[in-house]
Amino acid sequence: MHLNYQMDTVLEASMNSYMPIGVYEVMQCLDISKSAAYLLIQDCEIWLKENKIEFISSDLRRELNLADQASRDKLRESLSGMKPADYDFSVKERRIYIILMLLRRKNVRTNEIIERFHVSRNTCILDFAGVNKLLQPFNAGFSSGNFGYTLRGNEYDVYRLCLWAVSEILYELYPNNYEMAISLFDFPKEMVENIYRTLLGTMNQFKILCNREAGYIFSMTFTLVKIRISLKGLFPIENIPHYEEMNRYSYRIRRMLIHLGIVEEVLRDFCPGSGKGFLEDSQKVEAAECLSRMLIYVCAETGNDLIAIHVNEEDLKRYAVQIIQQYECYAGIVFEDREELKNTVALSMKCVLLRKKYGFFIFNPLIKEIRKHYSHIIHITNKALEGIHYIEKPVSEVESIRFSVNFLGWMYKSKRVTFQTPHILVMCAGNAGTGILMQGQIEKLVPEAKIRTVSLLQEYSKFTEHIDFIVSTIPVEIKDIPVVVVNVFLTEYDKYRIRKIIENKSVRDLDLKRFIQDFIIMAKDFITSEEVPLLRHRVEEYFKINKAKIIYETEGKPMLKDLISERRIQIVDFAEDWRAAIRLAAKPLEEDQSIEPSYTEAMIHTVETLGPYIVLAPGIALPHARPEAGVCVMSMALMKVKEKVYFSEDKYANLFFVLASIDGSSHLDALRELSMIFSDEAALDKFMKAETTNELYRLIQ
Amino acid sequence: MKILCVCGLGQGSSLILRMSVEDILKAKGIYADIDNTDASSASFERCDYIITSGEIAESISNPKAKVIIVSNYFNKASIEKEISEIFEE
Repeated sequence: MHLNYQMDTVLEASMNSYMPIGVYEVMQCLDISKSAAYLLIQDCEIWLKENKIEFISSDLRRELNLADQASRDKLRESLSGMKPADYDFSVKERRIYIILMLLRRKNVRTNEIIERFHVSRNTCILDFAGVNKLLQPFNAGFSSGNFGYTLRGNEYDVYRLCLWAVSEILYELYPNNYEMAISLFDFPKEMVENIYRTLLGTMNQFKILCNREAGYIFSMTFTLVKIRISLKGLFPIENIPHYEEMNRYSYRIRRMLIHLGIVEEVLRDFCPGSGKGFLEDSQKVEAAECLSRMLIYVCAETGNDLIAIHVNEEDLKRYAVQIIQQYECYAGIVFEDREELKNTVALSMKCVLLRKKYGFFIFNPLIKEIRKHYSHIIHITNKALEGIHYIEKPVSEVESIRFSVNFLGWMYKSKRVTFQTPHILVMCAGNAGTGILMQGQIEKLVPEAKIRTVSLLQEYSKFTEHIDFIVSTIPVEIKDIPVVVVNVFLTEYDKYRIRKIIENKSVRDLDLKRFIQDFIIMAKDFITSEEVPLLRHRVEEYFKINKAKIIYETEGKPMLKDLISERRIQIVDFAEDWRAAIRLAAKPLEEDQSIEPSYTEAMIHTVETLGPYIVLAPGIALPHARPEAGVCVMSMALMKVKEKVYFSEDKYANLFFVLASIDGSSHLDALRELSMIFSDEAALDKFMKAETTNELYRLIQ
Repeated sequence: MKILCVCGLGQGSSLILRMSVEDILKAKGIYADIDNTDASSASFERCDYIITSGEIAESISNPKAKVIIVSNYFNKASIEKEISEIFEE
């Protein structure tokens, strides 16, 4: 059996985890249906068997469970040595592979593609069309001739293409397993490792910071560049854009690359036509120049003085301050450690500008995540970047996302403001379709939220992620997490309640910050400018001490006496039957519009269908129904009937506590109180002895 | 040990029952995972005991759990007697 991308993802997850990987994990991770996940796990097991790697299979459920550390090691080995022949490439992987073929060779024939990937001629043609699109940003393309397809384009652009292709492979496709990427895409393993090691070894000496990804990207790109140089030769240094400007500061990097012998390595198989056995200095410089560029951009993320004096530092700082101020303005917050933030924003600007100027693209894995979870931050960042003249043209989405990372980080750092994306769990009864319907609506309602869906209560236990609240069609209760019970097709009231919960969790902070800001502005009229920061500090300190009360305070749960006002208490002598009793007891709630008449009917209906289970103890009934049956405001009512009202032969009630709850948890405290009152056996007597509504009211204080 | 308290809708009476059961077990020093839910979900939950009222008990079909019927959700003394077999575990 061939391995493919999805199987690889599951196998790697299994390799890195000490728990079995089950169907639901696979569904979540790859965003596929249950049956697809089921089959996928099955395929993985078949593959493992073929490759003689031991796993434990369970009779009860389908899950992937590697036997022991030895199997894990064996799996790692097998994956690292994965050859293209044993792999089923996805469309994207195939196209990248084709690009690599175009890069490495003079010609690529369609027959080779067809044989290698076992695809039809039509697919192959489509692939080339797709590849053409991918090549466009690099002003590159291909032409076809008698021998097949040939890559066309300015050589400098082609180097940029190499860098991009490698970063796609490492970041997008195989972020966790570089060895497999190297093997699968036919990179010379030894060479990549050698260069990587050499690079790492001399980092300190040349004061260059380079993380693992950067190191690998550079090393792998390097092997491609080497092949390009042997195919096409070096091009004159004057053709490298902005050569004169770059000359000064990339000098140090060039020196390093030459010193390390990396440039020698590149030019080793390249012998100029004159037949000289040694390399001319100018050639070395040319190669070094291109490579140094690449190294710079690859390392640009870490940005120490690698990217130096080329850009005016003072200007950058000034604009950084401007951006920060605009951000604070739009977001309604104030940052701490502004000096440090200023520095990192300035640095980001530097990187952005340089990347724009020299046109190198690198894909960054953070981008996907940020775009998914923090789109509201990106939005504010974009606004903050408006009107900054230093950045001439509008910044691309990718760059602005990179920028927003700064602000994101800073906001988490400052404990006073947490702009977290709400994590919502959608729960439905068992029909996956319902879940999808709800998810869609909630995505529309709360676009900044991260939403997960489960059906059936027990799947919830699989979640280790943080959940802020749950939106569910079934009434459930989960410890410490608010639940909003809604209809599958959200009513206006449902939407209102969902938004309420989100607001409760974040608006407080905003209000506070805005207040402090406004207050300080007002104070400026009365105190000198030196005193302003002191006052601000004092005010902030004050709120810090009282912070616990202000921030993230979810409204206290109402007590029994809050829900049962005196107007909602009644005493009657008798009721015709239990139905009439419930209707009568619920009347005050209908009258003050806490519930709709439909709720009363729903309560009766519940008893009709489920039986008189609402009689919790002899004499005490708790009529209630599902919130969406018609509850407008959370409330309760009490009615005492002097004569027993029978539901069935042996079930009767004198006290009717009508319960109208809005979700799964807000009425908890009130119910607990009820439970405590009646755990005392004498309580019922006390209630029965009360003659007036006032007496009853006092009993529930 | 997992115990499920069940009522018709999963949010009212089952909660009261659950609180009573929790208090009882705590007083006895018995540790158990106690949850509450509605009748329809109860049949699918994996648990050892299901505690509920008579009417509901009929509509639950859970192959692995033992169903215990209580008569008074508030009265701890009577509940304690009814769930006594749990203590023997």
